[in-house]
Amino acid sequence: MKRLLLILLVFTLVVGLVGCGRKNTVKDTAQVLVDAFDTNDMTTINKTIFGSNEVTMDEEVLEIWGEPDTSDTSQEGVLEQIFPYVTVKAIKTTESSITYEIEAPDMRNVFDNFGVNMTDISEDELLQYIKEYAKNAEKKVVTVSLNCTFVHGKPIVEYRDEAFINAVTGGLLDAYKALYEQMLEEYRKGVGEP
Amino acid sequence: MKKILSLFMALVMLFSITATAFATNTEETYYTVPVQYSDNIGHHEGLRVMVQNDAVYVHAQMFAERLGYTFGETSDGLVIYNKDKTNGLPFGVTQFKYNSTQVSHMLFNAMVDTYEAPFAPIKNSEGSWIPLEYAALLLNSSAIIGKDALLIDIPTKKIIDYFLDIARNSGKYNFDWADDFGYTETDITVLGASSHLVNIFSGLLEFDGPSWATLFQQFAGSTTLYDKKYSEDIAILICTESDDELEAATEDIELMCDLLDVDSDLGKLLSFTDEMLDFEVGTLQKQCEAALAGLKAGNSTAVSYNRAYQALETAVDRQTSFLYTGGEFLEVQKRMADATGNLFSVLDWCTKLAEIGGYALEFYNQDKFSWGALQYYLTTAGNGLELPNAMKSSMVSYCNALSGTLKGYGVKRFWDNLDEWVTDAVTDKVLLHSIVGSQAAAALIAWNIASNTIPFLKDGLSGADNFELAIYSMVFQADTYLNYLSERDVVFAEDIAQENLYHLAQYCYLYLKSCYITREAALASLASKSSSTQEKIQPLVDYQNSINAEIARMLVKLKQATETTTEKQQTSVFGFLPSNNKQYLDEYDGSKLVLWVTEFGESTSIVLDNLVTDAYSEEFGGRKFHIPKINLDGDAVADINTEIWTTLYDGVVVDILEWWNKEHYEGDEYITYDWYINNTVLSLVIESLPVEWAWWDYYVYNVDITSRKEISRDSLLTLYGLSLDEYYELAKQVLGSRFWSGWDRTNENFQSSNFVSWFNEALRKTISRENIEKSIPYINGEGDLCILAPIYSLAGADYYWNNLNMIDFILIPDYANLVEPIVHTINISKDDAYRIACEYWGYSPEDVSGETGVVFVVGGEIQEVPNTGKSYYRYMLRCLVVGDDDSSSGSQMSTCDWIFIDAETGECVTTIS
Repeated sequence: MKRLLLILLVFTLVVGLVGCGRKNTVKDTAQVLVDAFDTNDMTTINKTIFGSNEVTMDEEVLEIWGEPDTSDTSQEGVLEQIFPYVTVKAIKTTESSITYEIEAPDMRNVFDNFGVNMTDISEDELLQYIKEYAKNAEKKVVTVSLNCTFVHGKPIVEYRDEAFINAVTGGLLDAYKALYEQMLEEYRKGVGEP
Repeated sequence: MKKILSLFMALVMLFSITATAFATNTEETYYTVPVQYSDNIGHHEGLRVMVQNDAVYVHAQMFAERLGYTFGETSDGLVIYNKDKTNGLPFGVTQFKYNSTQVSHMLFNAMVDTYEAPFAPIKNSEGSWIPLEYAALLLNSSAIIGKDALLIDIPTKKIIDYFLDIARNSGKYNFDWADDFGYTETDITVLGASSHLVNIFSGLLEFDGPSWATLFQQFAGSTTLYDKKYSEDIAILICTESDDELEAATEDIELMCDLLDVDSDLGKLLSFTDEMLDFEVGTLQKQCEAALAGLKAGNSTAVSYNRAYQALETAVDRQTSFLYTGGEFLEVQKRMADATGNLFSVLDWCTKLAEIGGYALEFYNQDKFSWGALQYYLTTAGNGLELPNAMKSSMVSYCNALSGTLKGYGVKRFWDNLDEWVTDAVTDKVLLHSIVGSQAAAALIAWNIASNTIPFLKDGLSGADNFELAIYSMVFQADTYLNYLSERDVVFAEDIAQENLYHLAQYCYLYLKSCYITREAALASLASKSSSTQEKIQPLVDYQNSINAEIARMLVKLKQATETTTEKQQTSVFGFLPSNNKQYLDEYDGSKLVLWVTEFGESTSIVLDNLVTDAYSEEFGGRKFHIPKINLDGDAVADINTEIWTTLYDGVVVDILEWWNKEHYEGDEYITYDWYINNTVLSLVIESLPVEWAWWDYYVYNVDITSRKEISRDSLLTLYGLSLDEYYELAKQVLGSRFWSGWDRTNENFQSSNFVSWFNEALRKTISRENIEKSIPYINGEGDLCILAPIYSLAGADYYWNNLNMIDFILIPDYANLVEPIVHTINISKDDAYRIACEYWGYSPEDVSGETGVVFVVGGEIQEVPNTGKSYYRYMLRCLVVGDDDSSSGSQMSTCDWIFIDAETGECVTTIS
């Protein structure tokens, strides 16, 4: 009987340790994204959310090809203007989920101020506009839970979740969706068509 | 059975005929061996090789450049690479180190240092030398021994190369409404102003990482109101053959058939037995197997990496063929035998089998690979698949249903129609692909959304359907793209094993096919636009179609990925991986290649250093007279040597010696020459100044040193990828630019209309097609295409021959524009001008000067004023001043006044400037 109890105890401990190990792994995984947003590290953010990054050619290859390394582009993106104002906190982690609390500038109405004559706006103007908008926008806080599964011992977090993407972009995704739908509607009707 | 055995033995003997005693050779020996490249079927080119220590090396630069790569040297080795995206070659870098077997080779985006050559490259005074067979494999080529030439494949892209192409063209293959249908002035009639903002915004998102733009696009197309009809349509379209894929497969099969053409070396090898022994299917099959076994027996182990060999092997392998054809292979063979009923060679039979096998494989892959890929993708949903639930669940359930419907769909349709096609192809003696390409599409094996031929959809899709289908498909496209990227990064970061590459190929196939479907559906939705809009957007449609045709070529290759074939077969699909390298070394046996080279190389060996020498050489009066001869045997070269001798010795030297005594020669004549070797092309350029000629003369001979025949102009141009029309255009630029050198359009001579007329006439003649026809191209020592051509002269001789570089020259952009002559309008005749002058001075012929006597109005010469277009008549009022002694000798003319009369208006002025 004692032997059985001993076995049961060891089993419980092992399971507990595995569970504890997994939870810690999830916590560490969650922290990677938190740190990336803290430091506005786009490379880590992209790698974490997409599991991939822009392909960069081996330096040795570029040297032989005689081509400059284009991976270090100085051109700023849209999200780079917003993420500095975004704070991400991992408020709860379990073996199967991470709950983030995300504070971000409210970008839901970012495209509303554009009139119908939008064909004149340039890339630089739009970027500058979004930059100012994000700087002055009110902040809003959203809580999002993401599922986490283990594949071959590695945690897989479903970051490409619409609610999560919307939260970290301050609702920019929703604004874009509305704009996109407007574009498709114009197409359906056929602008300029008799 | 005895017949088969004797056939096999005959083939083995054919290859073994050169297997004389072969001793290890530590001294290097150089050869030029005949080669048939797959882009020049039926023709032999020379390739420099070296044999040392029982190993065959190839001249690295010559080989690399003939395959289309760039050659470079490093401090301790050499590098062969391609970075040009337009030449059809894979992107790549391969580095060899001298005296080391370690090789670095680019896989995807990084260099892999674990490759190992069977023997180390060498650098010596003759150049850089690398292992021939091994280098060919690394460079996506292959070299096998043919009957009397090496057969070398021009490199083609493998699946790994497509992974990199996609990475470097991420924005190109994805379909996006705003990006692809644009917001230009033309397209704005199709799309609204919002597309501009979407496009600008998406462009900015790309700078955060292309995945962000895709993710936003995916969510933008998502909706909770999914119609499962479209998910089902997408699944059907993914799993069935599109017409572009069929066309791309047909192109592949055509290339394979070319390799087996009766004029190709492989064809000759297989058709050395004239006729099949009988028409019993089993025997025919065995004869093909025997032919293939003979080919293998006479080759090195690397023959099985060759794609033509693999195609034949697959075609005659019953087990594989049965797999691809649902067990109908023997039946089709029987139909073929019945349909022929007369003379039929091993080659005919093998080619037909390979061709039918090629199509069967394509349809089999379409049925099996595409469905398998879709199912695998949908069942690996746990790893980050973000398809909206409604869409995903309808695709999963329909995919399961399709497993029954689609099973063998393409293959079955193929076999249902093949009987008729085979009969037509065999009785009409045409290749099967000339029939299948057009008829397969009509038989609904291939779909085309625009023409509404879609498997299982009787009435096709309406314009509105197509629009919705494109939106749904775009969501699937974005999803497959993001998952493909994640999978790709894992595979290349962790384990480039074939199994992983296979699954990656499945992901990649789904991504590209979804791009294809989205684009097709979007284009088909344009059918409802007005005809004027359609006309405006036609260039856009053409461009989008060209992207889809490019995608289709990749799809055909991706579908060839399997998990079950041998590593060698996978090499021709994925590329030469480190695991293939290991197997290659384990099996390496280069002895047959060495034997072949020493046999064939000896008979074609050429001493390049003395390829051209003096047939006559003398110098008198400080002038040189060197008449060359080409030191190659063969009738064609002998004729050239005779022609040179007759023209230059009999025609020039003998003339000189008749005019001059050598000791007292003071003439200007001379004869010199230069010669250049580029790969196997010898260009001999002779320059001569014959007796009493005011200009020099040129003679050019281009000779292929392996065939010992003169190379035609057209063949020479082919080496530079120039068509005749392109050559004419380039020559026109070169001649026109040279004509203009030293002139500019402000030159004061152009003020003269006469000069302008001469100049324009000479320019017109110089760049005329007739003149270019007289011109002779050759290749100089730098490998540049050059031309000897007449350039018309403004003075002196009609024209002078010029030696011009067609690659390295300064282009004068408006070389073809003639000089605009300045128009001098003359409305006033000389008689009228005279009257005006008389009126001006109030002169009449009877006038006599009170002081000096008789008065005259003289002149009337036309004088042009530069840069004004004005011409003036010049008149003078002159009087005869009589001498004091009344004698005529003392009289003289004196100018009293002069005027200029505008030839256009008749106005009188006293000065012009």
